[in-house]
Amino acid sequence: MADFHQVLRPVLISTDEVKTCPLGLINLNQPGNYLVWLMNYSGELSIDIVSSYVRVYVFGTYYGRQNQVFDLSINQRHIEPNSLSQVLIKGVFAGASRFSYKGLIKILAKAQSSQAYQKNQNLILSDKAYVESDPFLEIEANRVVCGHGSTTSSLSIRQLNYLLSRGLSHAQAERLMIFGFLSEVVYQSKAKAKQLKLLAGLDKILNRLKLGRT
Amino acid sequence: MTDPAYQLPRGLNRDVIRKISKHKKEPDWMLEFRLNAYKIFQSKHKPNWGVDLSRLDFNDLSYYSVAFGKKATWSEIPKEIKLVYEKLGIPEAEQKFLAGVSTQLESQVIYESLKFDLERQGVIFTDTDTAVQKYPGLFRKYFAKLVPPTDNLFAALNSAVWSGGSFVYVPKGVQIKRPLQAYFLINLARIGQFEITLIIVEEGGMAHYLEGCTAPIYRRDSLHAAVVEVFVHNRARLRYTTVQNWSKNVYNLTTKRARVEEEAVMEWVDGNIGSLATMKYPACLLVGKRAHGETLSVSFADSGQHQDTGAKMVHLAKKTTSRIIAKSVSKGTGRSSYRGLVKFGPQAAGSSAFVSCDALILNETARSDTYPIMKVSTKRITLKHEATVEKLEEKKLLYLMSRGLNRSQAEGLLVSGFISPVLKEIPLEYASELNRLINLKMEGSVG
Repeated sequence: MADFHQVLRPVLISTDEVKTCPLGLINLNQPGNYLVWLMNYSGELSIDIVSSYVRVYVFGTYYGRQNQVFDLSINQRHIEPNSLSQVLIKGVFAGASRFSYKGLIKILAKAQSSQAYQKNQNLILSDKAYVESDPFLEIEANRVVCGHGSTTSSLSIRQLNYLLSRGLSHAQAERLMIFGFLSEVVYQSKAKAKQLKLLAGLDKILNRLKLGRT
Repeated sequence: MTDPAYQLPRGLNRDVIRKISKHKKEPDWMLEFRLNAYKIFQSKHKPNWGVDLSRLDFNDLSYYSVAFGKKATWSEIPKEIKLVYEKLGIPEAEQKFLAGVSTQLESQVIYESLKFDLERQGVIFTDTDTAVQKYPGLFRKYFAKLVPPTDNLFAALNSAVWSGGSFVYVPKGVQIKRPLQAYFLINLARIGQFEITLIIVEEGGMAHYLEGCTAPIYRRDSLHAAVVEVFVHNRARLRYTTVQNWSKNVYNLTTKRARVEEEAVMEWVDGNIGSLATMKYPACLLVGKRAHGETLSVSFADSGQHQDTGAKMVHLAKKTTSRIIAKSVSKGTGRSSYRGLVKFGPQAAGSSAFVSCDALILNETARSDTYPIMKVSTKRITLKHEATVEKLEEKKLLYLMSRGLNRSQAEGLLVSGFISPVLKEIPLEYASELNRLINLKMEGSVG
């Protein structure tokens, strides 16, 4: 992935060369690479691509605990041809937290040769947590590559058992697995320095989650 | 049975409903049920999602004996429908029947011998009107329990004015090897616009129910609103196959739901080719431990058509599993939508679901939508969903054309390949007709 000309940030994780943009509507009318980071962000985010040769990435991590409620809605609207948009949202939900993801990729008839993806993956750690995932597509052009994926599950017992057999405590093992799950988002960024900063951010998140049953 | 010449004037009111019930000599409780459903119908509004229903006028329809309306004459059947009959190689007698010119098929003989076999095993396979009269106890135990009139506008309408449909009862442990074909059952009384189909498979039983046909069915009246209720008891198995090819003036708004008990298996196989607009989402309520639900669906939206189809899986017990495979093709100005729901209740620990929906867009003017909804309220479940939207690959087309096929043949072959995972689950004779039909559509000689 190329370096980003601009980093738009509804919610901030990284700091340098950041240009804040108002939440709600993001209007991309210049070619270039754009990046949006979300962290536990609730609300609606509309991305209108009104220029060709735009590459826009939206990466988000969510961690819910106790009675936290997150409601995210993302619209990827391709109005002009030859652009790319990619959404990747990963969430971990403990306690009685609730998460609702509503995504919509809309490709207008004249936005031929668009590429659009959305992926939402969730881990549920508690029987009281609730996740809703609605990744919608509305495609009016025919020369497009478009796809979405959504998965929701608990931690794999097999992987957990393996880690336990290698001497980790239950809490350590859970934490390692969740870290691995969320860090996919981090590694989407090419710059090493930024990655490290993001990983440190994740570490803080996991500390606050108070994982494990020790 | 009913007199074919009998037809009520257009319009819907309490009087019409009374007349329907009286003409069918129904018991009082059924009339009461109908009137109550009509009251519910009046209190509901058309859905503001899905297909465009603004041109659908409930008061401009005839609600009874509309199976074939007044008999049509052969000369008023649209040319393109006759052409399809010819290309599919359907015998003349069947052509006339499908077009609504004749009301009885010659296949009665084949059906009689099958029926004898079934009766010996205690299987009931009859039309719903007969079931109300002959098996009132059994009928009332299951009727309107899964899809009550309060469910949605079209279920309420169906409950108020229903006529026709099939009733199937498979006793404990009876496994029927041959598919039960509603096709053989068709006569005026049995195929309606507002049919109710009720299927009960007792413990350990097995059946395959098949309805519809690949040849276009011509209707003057433009609304088909059916209700299908299926009960699959412990360790039983049912497959319900529908191939729908209504003529292009019909709204097909159908509610289908199955209740699946312990270790039972329910499969919906659904092919939607015809109609002006379809809204149909077969559902499985997985209420017993280790129940399995499956939906395989293929839809083809040609110019002017909107196919809004999908599936619903509701996991309500431990270790239940489900799978949805949906394939859609849009061509011309056609629009196809997948709309689905996968829900895990708090009791669904150890359950898993898989959804895959693939769409093919053939022209610049065609449109494809995907509206999946997933709700999870327990851990220890696995839910996977994937969807792709694509066009036919130019490379593959060029390869086939270099081997001597013309462009439309090559396109037809690729489309056949695309839908083959669903096609191979449909009985051979239907699958091959469906395949031919899709190739006809691809050639552009139809519609």
